[in-house]
Amino acid sequence: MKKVWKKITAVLLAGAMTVLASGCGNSGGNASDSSSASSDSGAQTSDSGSAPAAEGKACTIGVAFYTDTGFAVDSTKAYLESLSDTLNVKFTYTVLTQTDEAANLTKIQELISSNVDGIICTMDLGMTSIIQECEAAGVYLGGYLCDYDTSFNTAYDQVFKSEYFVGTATDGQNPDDVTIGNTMFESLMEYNERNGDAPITHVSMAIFPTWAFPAQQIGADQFVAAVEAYNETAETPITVDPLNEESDVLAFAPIDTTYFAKHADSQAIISFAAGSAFVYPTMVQAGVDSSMKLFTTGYDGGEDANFGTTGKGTYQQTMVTAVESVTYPLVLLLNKINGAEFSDQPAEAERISTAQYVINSDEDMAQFQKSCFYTKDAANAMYTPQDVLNMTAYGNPDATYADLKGILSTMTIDSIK
Amino acid sequence: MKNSGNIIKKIILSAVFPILMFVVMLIITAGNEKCYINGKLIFLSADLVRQVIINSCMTICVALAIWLQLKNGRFDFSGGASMILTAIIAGNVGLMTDSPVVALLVAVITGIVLSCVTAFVYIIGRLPIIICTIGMTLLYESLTYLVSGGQGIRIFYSQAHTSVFGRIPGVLIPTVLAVAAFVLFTYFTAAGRKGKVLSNNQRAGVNIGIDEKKNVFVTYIFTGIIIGLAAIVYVSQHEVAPQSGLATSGIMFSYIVPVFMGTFIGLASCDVVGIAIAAVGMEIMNYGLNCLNLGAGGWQQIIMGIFVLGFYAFSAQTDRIQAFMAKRKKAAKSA
Amino acid sequence: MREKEKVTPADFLKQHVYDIAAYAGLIVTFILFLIFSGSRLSYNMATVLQSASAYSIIALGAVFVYSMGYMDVSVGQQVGVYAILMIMITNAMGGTAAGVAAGFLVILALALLCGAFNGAVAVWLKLPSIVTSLFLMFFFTGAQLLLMESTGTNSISIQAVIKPADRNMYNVMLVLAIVIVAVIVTYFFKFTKLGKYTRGIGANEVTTAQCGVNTTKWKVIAYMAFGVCVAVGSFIMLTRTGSAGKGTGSGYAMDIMICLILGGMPLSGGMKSKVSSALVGTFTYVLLTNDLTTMGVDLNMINFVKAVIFIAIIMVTCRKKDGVLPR
Repeated sequence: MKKVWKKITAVLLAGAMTVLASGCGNSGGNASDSSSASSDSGAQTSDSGSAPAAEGKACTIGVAFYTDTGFAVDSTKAYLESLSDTLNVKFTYTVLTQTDEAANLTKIQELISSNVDGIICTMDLGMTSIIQECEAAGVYLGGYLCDYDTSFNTAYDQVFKSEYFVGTATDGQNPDDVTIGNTMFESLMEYNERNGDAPITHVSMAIFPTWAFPAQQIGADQFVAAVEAYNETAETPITVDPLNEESDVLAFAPIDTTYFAKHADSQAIISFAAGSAFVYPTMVQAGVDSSMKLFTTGYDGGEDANFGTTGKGTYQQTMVTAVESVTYPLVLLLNKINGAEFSDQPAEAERISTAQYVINSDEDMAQFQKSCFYTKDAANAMYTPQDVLNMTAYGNPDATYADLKGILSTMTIDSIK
Repeated sequence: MKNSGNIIKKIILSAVFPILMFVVMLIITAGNEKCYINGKLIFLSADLVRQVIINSCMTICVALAIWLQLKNGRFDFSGGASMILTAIIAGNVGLMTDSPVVALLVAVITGIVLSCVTAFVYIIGRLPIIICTIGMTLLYESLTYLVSGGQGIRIFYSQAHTSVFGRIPGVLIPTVLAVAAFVLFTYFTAAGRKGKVLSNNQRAGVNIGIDEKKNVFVTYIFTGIIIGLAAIVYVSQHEVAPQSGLATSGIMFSYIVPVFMGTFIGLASCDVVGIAIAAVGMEIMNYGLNCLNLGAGGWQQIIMGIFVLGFYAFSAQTDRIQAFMAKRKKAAKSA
Repeated sequence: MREKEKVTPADFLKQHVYDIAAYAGLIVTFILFLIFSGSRLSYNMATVLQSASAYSIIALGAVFVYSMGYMDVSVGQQVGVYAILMIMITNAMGGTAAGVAAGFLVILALALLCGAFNGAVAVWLKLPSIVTSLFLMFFFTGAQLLLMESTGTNSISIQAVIKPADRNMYNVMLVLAIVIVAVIVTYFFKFTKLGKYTRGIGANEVTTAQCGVNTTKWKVIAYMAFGVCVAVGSFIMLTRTGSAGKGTGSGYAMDIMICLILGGMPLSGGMKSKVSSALVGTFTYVLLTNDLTTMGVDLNMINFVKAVIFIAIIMVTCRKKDGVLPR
């Protein structure tokens, strides 16, 4: 009998732990109270300039990331949290899968269950069902670090024309606006100028599959075209190994060591695919990180130890989208939640390319190390909470959509304070 | 004289698998134009030897940790999670102290501690081992999000001075230590011998007075040492991200094929040699598949599946084959 | 005549401690669900129902396999491939109802084939059935990748309407699906030879065989019954999003195992296996995940809390009293 009671106590303890655990996080109760209040009154206020709206209603915004850790996630959280008080927004977070629509729908449903008023979503997977869910629950959704290309091409009417989708800030350029190939070429040229005695004359490439990142194939073609144009007049032409469909297209797994045998003469890899996670590890494993250079995109941490002239100098270029670009969907969501609208608000939601930090020299790296992205400190962000409030239609009657859209093109390495 | 002849025969028999694998992959790659760059067959590059050694060492360490428990009648699901958590802790300490040796020591200690915790929960909870280790896997995986701010460990492997145990010749040190720990436990400790009794007939073992709890603990301590050594090789070769949803069992499963194949090949000699040789054979196959661009993606999975089933199907018939051979021998003798 | 033994409350508790623990878990998670759902309770209920629908149907089928003390690690990949095939076949037939029917028949046939494979090949080749399911896991992982590569996209969507436009109707449809499958599975498990023999195989396969039962035949039938539920579960899952991709179904095998353990199903199978484990466990698992999100538990803490609760529950439900340590 004693044992039985022990066991029952254990179950009750497990229950108690769950309750206690809630203390570890945000107080969901408050969130639900405040958001229910906001959704009640949401329909009533629509005049953008009304006085009490200046601060905005208390609301909750859920942020669904594509991964659970890393610089982009941590710095985005730091930036958003810094805005929380001034904008009167509580943020709650979840993580989506990169390959499972049903799992993503469940995650979004859980966010809606926790009484969010808006969602910032970094993935375009299962979006039609997710938008239907948002429409049913009266929750707005905006995109961040994602071009929503699948939805754009296959479900434009359901997603982009939905009144609950506010638009997205792309991670870099949209597929119809690609410049990454030229950027890579310019970085290569800058490297060769700095290293006139030992320029890079033979390169190979790596991309993610076109079905996932169509912009990368376009970027690769752009890079080849730029090199060919350069070779017409150059004294020392540059050879580019053509993209091998089998070995150079990474199926979201690191490149194989045989890549180096297949590109035996290559001196640098132009990796449109995220190189620090998918190319660099294999370079180290194969022991070519001293002899080959890597021009790539993304920053996962630690790249600066071997960047430019530091360490082994493997990395010669990387590109990062500023976390402050989340301001675009955030402001649009807040406008919707507060019943406000810009005078020049477009009829349909848009996807906007974002200028990136192009880091291709020691100076650039030093500058990047001062950014909110790198330091994960909102004190280094480009915008203060008050700046963001002034971008909203309800916080500043003079604010325009054109201005908001404009900030995405200014987020370059030079804009870091 | 006859004895030494036997040993040579055993070694040759054991070595047949990787040699066969090499010949098969050589024939396949040589007949495929994808595998030639500037007229040179990439399968026969120096990279083959290096990659096979590096990857085999990793495989041997994990396979021994799995086999040590399996040999003692327990399927430990939590090995992968212990290894990943150990790798994250050891890697971070190694990075802080800038010393791969400190990382190795921390890895072994952490491996032992985590294994002992698993053993403790198993013994105290009296839980079926699979259920218990699934629970521990979930727990250790959740801890990977709580140590080092949920960042895992990234740059340990990419710095030459910290990742010595991931490259030749450093990688051989943890591998040799892991093999030594396995051999020491299995053949030179009372616990190892008692473990054999327990795995063959658990109840009889307990009835003749073997302290099963103590035996489990000692086995887990040695498993912990090997897991720690596997973790240091792993963190010296990979970036390690936090894991969830039993993903670590997938990492462990990816090393399990050489365990079963190794024990079968080991029938000709002994299990450690079998596992080492199976690991080498498998890595030769993987390298060949990579040359054919089949190293990742759908076909690799299907080939792997067919290989696993075929091998199992064949090895499951060994008693039938042995019986058949014995029958023939007998018939020949009587004739 | 012997007097009927008097059952004291203590004895009752002792006999039903596993059930009490499993149901207590469900009740605790449900109470938390009621508290933290706040104003969105009805929406939240639909969410839980939708998340649990596919899981519970597959878990119900899995009862046949788990009661024999076996498991199937290929379920997730099977679900993924079935969903993709269903979409491809339906779309190839112009998104018609006939296409949907044809698609379902194909995946049903495949699921039955896999069931027979798991049951029979394992016996013929003298392999543990986890090995055949491991093979199927590798095979279906590869097939899923190749199928998606052939489409050239990240995600494919079905062109037919496979769920009612009205949300309430859809929820009713899901409830009906779960109830119908549960009733059928309960009937077969409790009142027919199938359930009796699978439990017998789990308790002691040799004895069952010596009682004149063709264990191979019943293993195949049990796996095929599971296959039917996998096919139905895959279809139900597909109705949620109408689309599928490379990762569809990933993690299902482990999730289903965890659901069954939380519901009090002994992994060694045998006479204590119950159909209710599937439903109790699935809803406990889904409610727990939902609770932790609505409670606002920190993302990095969620897995830890889940793990601790899981260990606490198995400590109660799975504890063995043998003289030797259980394996």
